[in-house]
Amino acid sequence: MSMLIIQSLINGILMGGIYALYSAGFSLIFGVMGVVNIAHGDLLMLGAFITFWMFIGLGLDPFLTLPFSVAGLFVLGYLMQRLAINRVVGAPPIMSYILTFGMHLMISNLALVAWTADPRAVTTAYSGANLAFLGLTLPWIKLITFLISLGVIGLLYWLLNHSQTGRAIQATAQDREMARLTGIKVDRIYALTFGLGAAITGLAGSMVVAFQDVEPGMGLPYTIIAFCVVVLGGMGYIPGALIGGLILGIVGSVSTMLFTSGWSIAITFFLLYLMLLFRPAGITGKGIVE
Amino acid sequence: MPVKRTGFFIGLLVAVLFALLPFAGESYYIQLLTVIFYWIGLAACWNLMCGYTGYIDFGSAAYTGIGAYVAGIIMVRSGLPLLTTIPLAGLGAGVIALAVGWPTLRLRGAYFAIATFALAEALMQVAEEWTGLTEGGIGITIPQRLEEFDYYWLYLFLAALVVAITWWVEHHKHGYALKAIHEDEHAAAQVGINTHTIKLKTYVTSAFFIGMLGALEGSRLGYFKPDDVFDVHITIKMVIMSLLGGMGTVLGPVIGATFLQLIEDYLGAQFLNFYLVIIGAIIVCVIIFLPRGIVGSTIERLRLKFRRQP
Amino acid sequence: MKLKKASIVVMALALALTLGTAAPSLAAKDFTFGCAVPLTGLFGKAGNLVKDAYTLWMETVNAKGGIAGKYKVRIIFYDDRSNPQTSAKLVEKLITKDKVDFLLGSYGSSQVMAASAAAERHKFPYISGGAASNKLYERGFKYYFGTLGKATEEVRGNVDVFNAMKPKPKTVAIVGSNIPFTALACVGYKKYAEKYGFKIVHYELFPIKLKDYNTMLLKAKSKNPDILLVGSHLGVALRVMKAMKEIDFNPKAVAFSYGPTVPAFVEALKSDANYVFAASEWTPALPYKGPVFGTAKQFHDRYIKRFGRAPDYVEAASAGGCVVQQVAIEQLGLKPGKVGKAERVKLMEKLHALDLNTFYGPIHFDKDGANREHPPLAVQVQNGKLVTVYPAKWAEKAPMYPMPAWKNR
Repeated sequence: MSMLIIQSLINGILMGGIYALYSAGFSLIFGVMGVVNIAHGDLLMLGAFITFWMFIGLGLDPFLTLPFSVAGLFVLGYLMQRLAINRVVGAPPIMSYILTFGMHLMISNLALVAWTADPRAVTTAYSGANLAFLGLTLPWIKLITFLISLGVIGLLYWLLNHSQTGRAIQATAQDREMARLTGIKVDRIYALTFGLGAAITGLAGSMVVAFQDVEPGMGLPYTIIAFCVVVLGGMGYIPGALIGGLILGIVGSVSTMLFTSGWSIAITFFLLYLMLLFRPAGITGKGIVE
Repeated sequence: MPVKRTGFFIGLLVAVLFALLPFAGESYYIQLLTVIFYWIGLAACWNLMCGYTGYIDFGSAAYTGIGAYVAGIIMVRSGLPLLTTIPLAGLGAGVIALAVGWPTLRLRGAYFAIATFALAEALMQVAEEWTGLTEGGIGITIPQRLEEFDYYWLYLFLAALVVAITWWVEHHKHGYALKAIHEDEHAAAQVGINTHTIKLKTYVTSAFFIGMLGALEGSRLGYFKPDDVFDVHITIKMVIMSLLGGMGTVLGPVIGATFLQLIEDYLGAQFLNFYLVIIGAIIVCVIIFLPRGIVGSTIERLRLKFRRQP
Repeated sequence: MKLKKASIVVMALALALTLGTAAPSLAAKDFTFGCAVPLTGLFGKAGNLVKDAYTLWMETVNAKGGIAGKYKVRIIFYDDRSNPQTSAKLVEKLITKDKVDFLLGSYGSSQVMAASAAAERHKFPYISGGAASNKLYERGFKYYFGTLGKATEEVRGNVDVFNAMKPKPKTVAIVGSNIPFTALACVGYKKYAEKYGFKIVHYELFPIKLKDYNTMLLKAKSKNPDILLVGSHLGVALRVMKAMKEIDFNPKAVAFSYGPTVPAFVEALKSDANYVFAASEWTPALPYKGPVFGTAKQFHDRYIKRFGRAPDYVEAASAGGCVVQQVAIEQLGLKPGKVGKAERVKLMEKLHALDLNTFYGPIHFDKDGANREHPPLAVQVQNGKLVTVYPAKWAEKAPMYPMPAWKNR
């Protein structure tokens, strides 16, 4: 029994890393421009499909397609911000919910027309292969995804605090007017941030398709998980995504083991609710509170 | 004041005219209007609470779900007539809203939104797991159903009632208090408004009506399972309708719900594959070009016009 | 100024939409069928399969001149977005606004429940080939018909095939997603597993939105069952397969209620799909034959020619529903433009009375609208191809059993 608990804990930690990876971009975008991006899951879906089609068409290994989904999603995110989302920066958050919900409808349904509702999966020679020791199993792909997740979040955190662009992004997030006065091109920073957030999300999508089936309508549930993860870890605080992701992953997995998978979802959401009541700035206390 | 009264009476007249429509005979438009009134009712409930206070509730579908299940279970277990179960469903939703609202309404912004959402999801899951009570994921069949026109009239009545309440709130000090909360909650509290009680009252009222509407719709469908009546898309639709029409206005949800249902109905028939893309594009355009919604932006423009002319 | 222009455009658009909804004029020489299926949402994939099946039927019939050789068929399709409220509304629209002559059924138990209730009120026969919840038949409806077996019976082939194995496996684990069809499939698994004396070592229903299947299946793995029986749709089946490999779960066999018969299953999993069993109601290998499509094999070949993929049993059951309605219409001698309430009551009575052999097998509706039980079938993926493995008299190949462990494949 205790082995099972340890295994479920490991599953939860790995899942948590994956949650964190696809929530980091969401947190970045919210933290900098206060925009809740409901089309977040659709960006993830696009990243997944870039990988899928390159795998099918060119036979490229999913990991080799990462640069393409990162670049593709960066451009798309940059344009989305410039053309539409910039109009709701600074407006009440509800405006960004609805605007990006409209975008969610557009992206997911265009994808549906283009690619049909077939669930797709990338099956490589190493799909499902795992590292087994002491009676425990760690699927390689999830392990690598977890490490990439740590790397990306670390890099992002470092970039924001130590690079010039990163500091400009931070300054803009803290005080838009002040940033403008010091000569930062605020609109460009916003577009850059959105592009960066989209690029990380595209990367997450490319990783997800390596172990899970994807289809054009998959986006909204991923958005919802990202929202929960980010609120739990603290809105706008990047390492919070990792903490929030791990909590959701571990609680979900261990309560599935102890009770049933159905109750595990109820427990996870009740826990999320209670945490919000008692720690509205997220578990780290470093989130933005309005 | 007389202008306001005229508006009220025009609204009443329109409602009465619509109530007479079924006597002209059965047609698809009665069906379409039935659904439109249902959504006007829901959107108006959402607007009453969230449009005026600025609290974004992402878990309103919890109350359609609770309403549908309270009425459904009572009908299945006790055989009570459908119409008596409807107010009970409203009460059930109201009581839960009271218990939920009391702690939750202290949260703000995205935290309130996610807290309400999380609770709605948790409740859906409980309904799915508590099979002894709800029959779980296999779903529950509702043994009673009203006539078609009864749904039309009841939805019209409930929608009109909620809109009337919104109108009353708008012109009553309760409404000023809600708007003050929207503008600046601390300031509102400092001038002596008991913000928490007022929010809670409004939240419970809104949940009460959502519960009744959910219960009626459950019986209209005749069969449902937790993910039909606790569906997050129900909440999303309420939000979008309020916003398209104009949040914090009396007519906003009416216009928004009608507009969205009509374009969905029309585009769905014309562009089988692309209609959701077009609806998405319309939503994006409205937010970009009419940020205060259809009603809100119109009012704003009229105001500007009058101000310019001395 | 810009704001004003844009708002005028939006308003004008709204106005145009409300005014522009004139009913299309219909040629009185055609029969119009109406159909609201899920093309988007949870059942978007399966709804499209049903739409294809109906389209093939329409094209086949029209190529022969139409119903009774002279009345062309036209189908109005709507998307119900996998939402019961929308489904019911669209059926009302088809009946009262588009004034269709007949209806075709949808996919998914929730939508079909709501849609068939609307059809029943208007006395329109409604035949579904894509819904199997037992609750559909417990309402005392006269106008609802289903060509598929009831969900609890439909999965019987999955248990029968193991009951016939020598040596017979001893223990089973049952898991399934908690939505009507798949939850009832688990009820059916349980019923037959108990009947045949299998020991049920694990039973769990999981939410459809569950993300991580690894831990859920880990519990089944820890009970070490011989057979894993899964109540599934296509997506669930894919996720279960992926998770089984990741956690190195090696029962002697795994069987799904639905999924592997859809070609997308093998496409997505490649060789990992081998050895998987699935219950079925129909395969092209069966000796069935009837009007319109000819034999089961001919239907299968025609389908591949038209859509580039093989049909599964839901598509066959849907097309089978069309065929039985067509035969009933022909036998009653109904004519376009002259189909009213009285004709549809007759059609309902005719459908109840018919006993028809088709490419989909015998269709004979019981009083509650359920099709007479088809013999339980099981298919298996062998070397990337679906083959019938049970019952023995129709089996194309012997079942490959037990499934080798993941690391030996």
